[in-house]
This record gives sequence, C-alpha cells and structure tokens, in this order.
Amino acid sequence: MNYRLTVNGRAAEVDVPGGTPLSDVLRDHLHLRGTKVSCGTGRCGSCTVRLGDRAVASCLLPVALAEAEPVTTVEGLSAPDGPLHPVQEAMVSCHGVQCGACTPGMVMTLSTFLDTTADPDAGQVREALTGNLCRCTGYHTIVDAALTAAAATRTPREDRP
Amino acid sequence: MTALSEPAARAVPATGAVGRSIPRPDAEAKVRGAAVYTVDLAEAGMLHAAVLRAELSAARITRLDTSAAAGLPGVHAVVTGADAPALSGMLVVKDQTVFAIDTVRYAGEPIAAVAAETPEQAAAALAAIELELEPLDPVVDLDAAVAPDARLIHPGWADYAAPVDGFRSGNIAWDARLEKGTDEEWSAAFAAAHRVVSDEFRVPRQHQTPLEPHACVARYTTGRYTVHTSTQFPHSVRSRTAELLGIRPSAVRVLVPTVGGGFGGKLDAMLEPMACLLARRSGRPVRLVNSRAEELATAGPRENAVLRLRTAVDAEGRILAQEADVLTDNGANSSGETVICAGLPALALGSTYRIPLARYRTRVVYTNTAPTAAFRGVGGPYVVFAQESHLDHVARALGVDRRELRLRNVLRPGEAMVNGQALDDPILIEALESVERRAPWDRERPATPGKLRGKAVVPLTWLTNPGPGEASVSLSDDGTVLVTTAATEIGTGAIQTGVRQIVAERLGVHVDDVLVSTPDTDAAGFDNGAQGSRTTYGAGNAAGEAAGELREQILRTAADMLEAAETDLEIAGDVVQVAGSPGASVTLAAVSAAAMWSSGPLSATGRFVAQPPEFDAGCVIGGLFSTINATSSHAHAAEVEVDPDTGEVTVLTYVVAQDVGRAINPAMIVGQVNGAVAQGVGYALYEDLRIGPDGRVLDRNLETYRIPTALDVPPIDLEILENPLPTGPYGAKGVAEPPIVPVAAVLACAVSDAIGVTVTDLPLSPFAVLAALRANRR
Amino acid sequence: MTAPTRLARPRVEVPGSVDEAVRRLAELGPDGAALAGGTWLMRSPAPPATFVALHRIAELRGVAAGTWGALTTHAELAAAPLPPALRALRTAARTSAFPQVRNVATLGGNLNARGFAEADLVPALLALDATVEVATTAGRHRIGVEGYLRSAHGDSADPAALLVSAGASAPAGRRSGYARLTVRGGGEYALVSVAISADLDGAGVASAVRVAVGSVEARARRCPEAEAALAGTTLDEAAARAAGQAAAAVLTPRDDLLAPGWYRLEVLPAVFARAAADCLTDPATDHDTGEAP
Repeated sequence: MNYRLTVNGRAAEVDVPGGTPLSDVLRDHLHLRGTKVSCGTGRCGSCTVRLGDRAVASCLLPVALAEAEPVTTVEGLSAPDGPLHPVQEAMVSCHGVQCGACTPGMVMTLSTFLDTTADPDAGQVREALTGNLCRCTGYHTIVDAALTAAAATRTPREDRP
Repeated sequence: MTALSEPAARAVPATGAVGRSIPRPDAEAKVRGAAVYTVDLAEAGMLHAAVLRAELSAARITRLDTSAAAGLPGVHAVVTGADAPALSGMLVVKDQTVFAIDTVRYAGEPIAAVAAETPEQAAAALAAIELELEPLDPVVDLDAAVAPDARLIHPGWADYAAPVDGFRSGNIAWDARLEKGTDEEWSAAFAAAHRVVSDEFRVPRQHQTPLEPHACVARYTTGRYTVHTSTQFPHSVRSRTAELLGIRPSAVRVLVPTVGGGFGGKLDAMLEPMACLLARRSGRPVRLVNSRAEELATAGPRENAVLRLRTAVDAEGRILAQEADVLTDNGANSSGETVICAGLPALALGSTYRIPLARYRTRVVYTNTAPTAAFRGVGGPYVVFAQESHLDHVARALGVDRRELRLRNVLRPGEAMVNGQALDDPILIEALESVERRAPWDRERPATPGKLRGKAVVPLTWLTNPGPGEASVSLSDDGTVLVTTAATEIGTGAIQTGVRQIVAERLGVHVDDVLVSTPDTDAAGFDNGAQGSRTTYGAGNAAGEAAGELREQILRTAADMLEAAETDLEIAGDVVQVAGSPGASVTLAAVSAAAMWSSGPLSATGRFVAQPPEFDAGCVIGGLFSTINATSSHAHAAEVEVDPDTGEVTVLTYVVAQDVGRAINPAMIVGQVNGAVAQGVGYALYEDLRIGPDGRVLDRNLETYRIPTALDVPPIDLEILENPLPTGPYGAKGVAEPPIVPVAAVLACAVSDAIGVTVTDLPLSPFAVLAALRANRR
Repeated sequence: MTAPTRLARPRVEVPGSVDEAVRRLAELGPDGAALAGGTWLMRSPAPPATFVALHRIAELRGVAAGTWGALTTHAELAAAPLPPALRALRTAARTSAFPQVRNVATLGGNLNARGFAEADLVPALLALDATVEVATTAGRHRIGVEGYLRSAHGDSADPAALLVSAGASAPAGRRSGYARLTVRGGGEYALVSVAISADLDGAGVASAVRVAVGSVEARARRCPEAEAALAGTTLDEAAARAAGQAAAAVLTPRDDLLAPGWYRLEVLPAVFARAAADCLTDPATDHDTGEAP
C-alpha cells in the first residue's frame, strides 16, 4: 500500500502495510534516524515526533494515520545547516544532553509543548515530560533548558542580553 | 579543601581549560538528531539477525535441528553452539559459551542465531528451528543454591579455567573473605559488647536500562572481524569476543559509534560474538539489536543479594566488631563482573567507618537466572543500604542520635580502612558538615498534616577504578591537537569535555582545538573502559602525560624557529610565543609544518595505571579487589514524607556533598550527580527487576519496570568539594559512581525514621512501605 | 519468549463513513478491528490482519454539549470546558498516561481496549451514567455504557458494533470527580482509580450517587455498596473513606506486576477521599490549566 506523507516539509511516498509504525517508516524508509526507538511500546518517548501540532509516539502510530497531517521530526525542527531551534539551543547551553538517546524525543516534546504554553513553570514542564524517559540527567537540566527556551522565545532575539 | 558552592555560576577564568563548565561539543549533533549511534548504522548488503532464546531456565537440550530454518527464503546463516564451543568469562571464571550447549542454564540463554535479508524473515527462521527441551528443576533462591543438596548448575565447575586462584565449589562461583583480628580478639569483643545487633537485608536486581539497547553490526573479511558496537569498553569486547570464538584478540577490531548510555551494562561482549559468527557464515554484514524485552531479560543487571550483618557495639555505639555474610547472585555464568567484584562488599562495609575487627564473607552464587553484571557503583548501593540501615537499628537500640553515631564511628584522617589501607586524605567530617550547613540535622520542620516525616544522613568513602589506559596526542597540520584513545564517551562528558580540557590545559591551547578520535581498537592502545568513574581520571592522566610530552616537542621545534630558549616559550592558544614578548611568536600550524620535515610529525603517547596502595595482605582471602583506589569522601542527607494511607514516599529535600578532587568541568559533575541520584531514587523506591520462582525475568517492558520520570527526581542541593588527589589529573578523582552509592541507604533510613520500622528490603515501593506500616500497627 | 516479535504488520482500510466501516468490520469478523488512535492495538502481540481505520469519518469527531465523538482524544477531553457535573471525565482524561498518548488515544479506543483494566475513561463514564450510540449492521441504537461494555468485552461481542459517540447529562447540582493512584508521580497505569458522581442539594447532601472503581478488578465496575455508603453524606473525607472500605469489602482484586491485590484494596479509602475532594473542587477557584497536577 502506498502512503503519501509530508515529512519535514517534503513529500514522501512509501509502500508498506498501513499498520507499520511511523517510526519504522521514518528510520528505515526515509533514513531519518534522529527519531529513536528505545522501547517500542510507546513508554519511553524517544520516538516522539510532531503530527500537525501534536506530539505523538511514532512507534505507536500506524503510518496510515499519518497521511492527514504534516510530520515533523527532529531533523526538521531546524535546518541542518541553520541555527538551532530555541529548545535545541537551550538543551546545549543548559547541559541537558548526556548520552543523547532521549534527546530527539525530548526536543520534540518540549518544542511542541512551548508552542501552546509560552510561559510554563517547572511543574508544567515536568508534567509535559512525563512521557519522555531519560536515564542520564535526572531531568533537572532538561527542565532548565525548557524554561530557558521559553524565556528566549518570549524575548525577541535582538532584545536578549 | 575548597568548596564550589555555585559550580555553574563560578567565574570562568580568562585562560585555562580546567575548571570551566564548557558545554559538550557533541551536544549539537545530538539535539539535531544527527549523532549516529550503533542502532542507526546500516551497510550495503546488511543482514538482520535474531536470536532463539531458551524459554526455560533449566533444561537439557534433547533436540536442536536448524535445517528447515536454514532453507527458508532470505535466510543466509544459522549458527548454534556447535559453531562456538569455546569457554570464556569476564576476567575470572571461564564458564560461559556463546550458545547453550546440551544444557540450558537460564531463561533467555541463546540457543541459536539466524541472519536473514529482513527482520521478518529472521523471525520466521527462528520459528522454524526445531528445539526440544527436557526441563530440570531450576535453582533460583540464593540460600537454596548454596545448600549442600542443591543441584549443581555447573557440574563440571572444577574443570573450568580460572586465571586467578580463588575459592570456588559447586554453586559457589567465588568465595571472598576479609578477616581482621584473631579469634581471641573476636570472642573478647563480643563478650565485652554492650549490645549485639543483627539484621538481614534483601535487595532485588536493578536494570541499567540505557535508552540505546545493546546493538552491533559485524563484518568478516579474510580472517578478521570488524565490529561496530555500543560499548563502554571496546577492548573488553575485543578480548571476550575473541575468547568466545577461539581466535586471537587482534583478529577482532572494535569501533564505537555514539553510545546511548551504559551505566555498567555495556562492559562485556554480549551480542558481538553471535553477530561475528553470522557474518562469517553469511559473508555479509550482520546487524543484531536487542529488543527492550531482551534487554530486561538477558542484559546483565545489578545483582540481587542477601546480606546478614551482626555487629557488636559499646554503650556509646562504637563498633567493636562486625560480621557480614553476603550472598550475591552471579546468575547462570560469570559473563558479568559479579565475580571480579566479590571482594567489594567487604571494602564497602569497612571503608567509611572504623571496623576494628571484621569477619566479612561474600559468596557469589550460581543460579538458573540471567547472568548479572556491573551497574554504576557495583555492590556499593546495597552494601551501604544494609550497613546504614543496620547502624540506624544500632542507634535506635542504644538510644543514640543517628548522626552522632556516625560521627563516633566515621574514619578520620590518618586512620586505616578495614583492609589496613590508609585513606587518601579523607574529608568525611567536612562532607558531613557541608550537608549540615544546608540541612541542619536538628532543624524541626512539621510534617504535612496526615503525613509522616523522616530524615537521614549518610557519609561515604568511594573509589576510582585504577585500571590502565593509553592515549596518544598529536599536533595536526592546522595546529589543532588530536587525541587518539580507546577510552569511550558514553554520555558522561568525560571524553568530550574532561579529557579535552585536561589536554588543552596541559598544552595551553584552546579546548575547541582539541579533537578526540572515536574508539577503534586497531588505532588506539588498551584502555580499561568507561567504568568505575575512571575515564577523566585514568584516560585523563594518560592523555595529560602525552600532552606534556607533546608540549616539550612543540617548544623544542618552536625554539629553533624563534631562536629562543625553550624555557622562555609558552603556548597561548594557537601560537607559541616568547613569554613576556608576544610579538615573537609562531603559529602551531607553522610548528607542525616545520617539524614535519625535520624531526617528523609531533606526537606522544602517555600511559597510566594506578599503583596499588599498601594494605594488610593477611586479612584478604580470595578477594580479587584487595584495595580501593583514589578514594573520595561524600555525604548525602534527605528528608522524606510518607503517606500512611498509601505508602507513597515523597523526597522533600536531597542534599549532597561530593569530594571530586578537582572539578575539571563543574557542569558535567552536576550532571553526573543529578543522574546518579535519579538512578539511586529509582533503586530505592521503584526499580525491581523481578524473577519468578521458575527463574524467568517477569518485567518485560518499561510499564512494569519503573524508572524515574521527570516527576520523581527531587531537587538536588549539591556542594562540590575540591580535595585534590596528587595522582589525579589536576587533582581530579572519579565522579560518576559515588553519587549513586548512598542514595538507597539515605532514603531507606529516612523512610525507616518516618514509619518507625527498620526497612530491610528494597525497593521501598508503596506496597512495601504500606506493608511495613500495617505490620507495625498490628 | 524474548525473541524479537516482529510480526507482519496489519494492512489498513480507510472507510469514509460509519456504514462502510460497520460493513467492513462485519465482513472481516475476527480478522479485523476498528482502529482509532492505535495506542492500544499497536502494542497487541497478535493484531488482526486488517485494521479498519476510522480517522476519515467526520461523524466520529467533535465535542458537543454532553456528547463526545468516539474519536475525541484524551487531550481534547482534558481541554474541553466540561461543567462540574462532568469533572470526573476531564480529570480522568487529563491524568491518564502522558502527552504523547493523550494526544492520540481516543474515547472510543479507551472503552473498547480489550484486557485493559486500567482504562481511565471507563470508570468516569460509568459514574456519569453515560450512554453511547452504537452502529451495527442492524442500524443504530443508544444504550447505557455499562451495558455496552458488557457486550463489547463479552465472549460473543459483535465485531461490527462501532461506537459512534458517548454522552452524559449534567444537571445543575451534580458534581463528579476522579482520582487515580500510581507508584511514580505519573505516566503509568493506575493501580486503583475511582470515579464518583453525586447530586448535591443546597446543604451539600449527596443523592443519586454513582461510584465506579477501575484497575482493581479485570474490568472497571460500579460499586453499589460504596454508593450506599455515600448517599446522604456531604462527601466529606470520612464518608469517602467509609465508602472506600465498603468497596474494599466487595471487590476481588487482581495481583499482577503493577501491584499486589491486597494493596489495591488497602488504598481504596485514600483514593476515594481524593476522588471526593475532586468532586468538591470549586470550579471558580480551580485554575487548572488542563495539565495533570
């Protein structure tokens, strides 16, 4: 069965059973291996991508359900040779990255969350991250990164100190 | 000793790389999703492998026929125990084969492996393998396993090679003792004791659960194997794969892409030998990746254990003598580090407190369960949990304040540990004072209505792995510096920041101009792996030594170019200049070019291994670890609240004082402490890799195996203490392991304080806490 | 046991109407299943050969006053401006799972997930006395959610019965609330979940009490003994705890890897108290953002 997707602004067509997880399509067919699959049962969040304006676990999403809305993966959050998204930038500067296996999912969850919650407190960030497991950082620096990114997004770039 | 109270905000020195919280240079690739992990590798013609694993934990293989599977579409290779008869083991007892041969010893043990064009074809091939098992009675319980009538899991144990002499028999894979004091002294101490207190503690398995599972891609070409793998210890994978395949180690080349976490679980060869066999048989590259269920069922976790402690104390609570009988679970074979760490419980019991007389025994026991392995802090977390809970029991029995009891027993400068080894400049008192400043012991804070409040404080001495390592440092044509080492970045930042900062500091160059190669056992000499907090320390020392020698070479060449004395020269960023007259300078690129056709390329190799400290050799019997290296001092304190209706534990405050020797990169230290405390919270409160009575691992996914989420890690108030170690690079000691070691202890003691019952089992799940509360009420 | 179970993936059909979906489900029988968000079915160790995807059927979407299409997601329910009478549904939706699942998992999927004792919306809808509209090959009908669950999860379930929507009434004076207990702060299945609905008179005295308990038994169910204990009380903590004890006396708990059975019973009074507190949360001072606490 052919499925026509829009991934990171590009049209893509794959020929797979409709029940194939979107994560497999992204990684094995479209060679977008930034999206990680760490548990395969939707619990760890490392496969998080954006479908329309929602963060979803791509390992649980049948590709047949991904046709209707654009898909954004970590590779599409900022241009490969362009500046980082504020969340990516803050994850680097706040030391929110260690082994990095959870990082793409964290970045996708947080960037989606901040689109609807411009000025979150730490508790809201933690709640937003409940579906993303990290085994390295203890989460604190990731929460710092989210708050830093939110502040940076609220402040136009030229107004930043 | 100096304190860095605000590590992240610490003023950044204008020059110098050491002591700065530089962001890690690999972070950008990771946030872009551009970092390439082993699970991301693909090669042209690559086959997909899958492993047939035993359903039973104890059985005889009565029939194994792979012919039908081998003939299925897309299947290129099927291998079994007949293809790999050699025995191996992690450094000590050689009791493991790649595949079960004749006998199954744990559920999940590999029986056969297949490689096919697609994962679906590989799964179909597994299903077509004809296997018949005749069940045996599994031996699962530790006490049952060491009983005289227990069925032997390895009837041929006495024939196994063990390059180190030790005490083994039957189901006891290793028996390590530490005995201090004569029988007369021992009897006298117990006779004179004010009280003798006994406790028994039980701890479960804890799984490392790196988010990247074990994964590898293997190739075979003309007698050599090339393996890309997710490992902490490439040379271990090299030597163990070779031993299991019956070939020489140099026939295995190990390369390491970005590693998605390890925590001790990736020190050993696991999937690599199977992938190599399949690659050789098929002539194609072969990819093998564990599912999460396979990770939990077969990738060696921290061992479960039973600890029995008996301590004689005087009326003030001073320890007079202490006995410990520890049973730790090796699982079905010695493929993990449990045997080599058999001596560790004794040292963990006796390195923080004054133990005048000791009878410590640790038996590493075979059971029909998946082999256990190293996890951050190895035996420390459960030994310290037992010791501290036991000391709280002593304090309560005597009516002595729990903090005061610790102050009376804690080791002071100049005193020796239980093995007779002197501590390296201990600052245990300073560490306790550091947490006291921030969380005063006598501070009375009322509990939330309806909740129970408890607190605890725990001092700790911990170690740094002493193992050997080599690193080369060379000056490139553009004036940058390349470090070549097999030491592996597993996410801690030890290579990406620590080693680079040490090299930059030693040379005087910009840290951005120091590059580090990725590990390749064909390109770099031995390194003892990312374990025991050793990378910044051991690899940092080796690279630092090499950088020092390279610096001399650079100055020698520059002296000729500048017609100046070497002693008048300094390296400042990308130039060599005459000190005090910056106008007279040459670039490092020019130095490189000048050297190229005169002395040859500039490069140097450094090496390091810690020298063993003196100790009382008479007291250690069969221990493979007799001493502990590069010790550091720590204290953790916590305050918790327990909901008596549900058993839920909330950690209100968590305070850490950590002696790091010298903070090479304070932000990375904060990251290690945060992450280690989080894993310790998981071990203390949630994590329990359950084994059924039939020996099978019951937890198959991350729904039931609970690791902490962002909602579960308390705020961590850290003070970094700098107490330089003369033999560490710029004074640095190991940082990554110590902060997990006391967490379960301090939380268990705080919960015990809250509920008024000594907690004897981990984890302190709401079920366990509520059961303890209900039992106490009755 | 631990071999990678990479089975052949189901094919997916995408009907454009309820009638077409029902027809295909009838034709496929046990070889087909309706696919909503997929978060449950995609984890099935033995999925059917064909999924009948519902996402193109506009009729199944949408939140109207007191009626929610089967494809309404947990996130949409959590954000919906539900009146105090329907608070249990909102709390259940917003405290379930975590964002990636709430954004996708649907009401219809939650009610129809077989073997999912912890489905959060089920006890809430039971306590709200919800009704559901069901389409079958014989036409459409509306039945109570309790009866629907009994048939949908029974051995002789009609594979072509398709849940179209669910609804519940919200009379003035009615309050409802929900609470769930987990080992960690969240992000996991409830060990125990409790939904309470009651009509409060001017003095706050409860009548028409309905209580449902989830996660404890294999399927969530109403608990008349607890309802009787709460009737005529002001839903205070003591009354709620007594009702929890009444529930504990009659429920037969499951032992599994998530929790021992005895624990599920022991904590019922505490979870009842939390659910009653959720009922009485003053909507005027409830500044909840829709995210779980």
